[in-house]
Amino acid sequence: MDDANRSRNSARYGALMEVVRERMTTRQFDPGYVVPEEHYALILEAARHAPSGANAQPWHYIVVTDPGIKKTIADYFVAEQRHRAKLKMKFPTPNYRGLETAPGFIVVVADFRWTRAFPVLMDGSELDRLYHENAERILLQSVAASTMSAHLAAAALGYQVWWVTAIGQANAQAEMKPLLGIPEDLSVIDIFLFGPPAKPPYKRWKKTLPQIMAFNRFDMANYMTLDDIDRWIAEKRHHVMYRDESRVD
Amino acid sequence: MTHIVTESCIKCKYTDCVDVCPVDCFHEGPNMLVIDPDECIDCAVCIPECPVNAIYAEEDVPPDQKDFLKLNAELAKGWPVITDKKEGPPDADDWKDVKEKRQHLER
Repeated sequence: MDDANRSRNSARYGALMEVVRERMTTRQFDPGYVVPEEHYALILEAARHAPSGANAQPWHYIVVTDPGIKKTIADYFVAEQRHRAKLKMKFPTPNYRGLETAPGFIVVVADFRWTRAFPVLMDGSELDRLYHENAERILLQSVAASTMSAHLAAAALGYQVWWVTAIGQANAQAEMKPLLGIPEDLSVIDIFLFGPPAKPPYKRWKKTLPQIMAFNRFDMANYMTLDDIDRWIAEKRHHVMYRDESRVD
Repeated sequence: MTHIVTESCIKCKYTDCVDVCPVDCFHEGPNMLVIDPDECIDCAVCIPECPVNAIYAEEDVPPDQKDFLKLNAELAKGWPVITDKKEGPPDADDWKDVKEKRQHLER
């Protein structure tokens, strides 16, 4: 690699990392902001280029601009949040009311029928079931890769984001599919919100490089027992989710 | 940011809020509950649970209740955490519509 290329690549890496670092979660947006229409295309252009199993590209993005639809979806999530709280799930839930404040609101739809394009037997056997499980992971990874590309594009345009996950339950599907005219055999997989934040966003705690990285062999120093994980959930989870990294301990 | 328990809770202490809090940030005093602002994550789930509408997001606290911001932070330090709903005071219902209750706060 010559020097000109090296310097060009280093600048590209710097620009990418600036976007990666500054992509921060916000759960309350400036509701008065209007997303310029061309931004939807700029953001989803990034989603379009993502890798996928069998190059199947099993994703669809529905841009929601209707405030009534946003509110209906927010209402569903607030009800679900209360339901989980009453079940004593003890998950430190965000305030889902914030959904309806998002100027950019994109529902991500996955087509799980594409698992048949991945390595599967299609004979209904037990082995086929295992391969189908694997194929679902391939599909989820594919849609996540595309979604993350879109999130980074939004961050590059100066927005903050909220990746609303955990909407696989049957009742969430039943609520949202008719509302958005999504065919029965497709699935709503997550919601991607973006916009200017209502309050300054904060950087969450991130593991250090040595805590996640090893060469050639797994680093047992980074292995956590189930007890370690349970302690982490009890003592640290809500702090790492809702505090600036400087205030975690 | 945090959520705050205000005057309406005094002498009512119904504790419905405690049951839904995912991070156990309610602390129990002799006749009122408060929220530890360092632990509250602003999920807002407790707000509709309160039969006397005592809980507000920090930014929505009515002007005449602003002193409870400091009170919650201060009292949470000394009072024990409460994690399960329990029977309220026997005369709680007699106090639920009483507006001025500050003088009855026991520390």
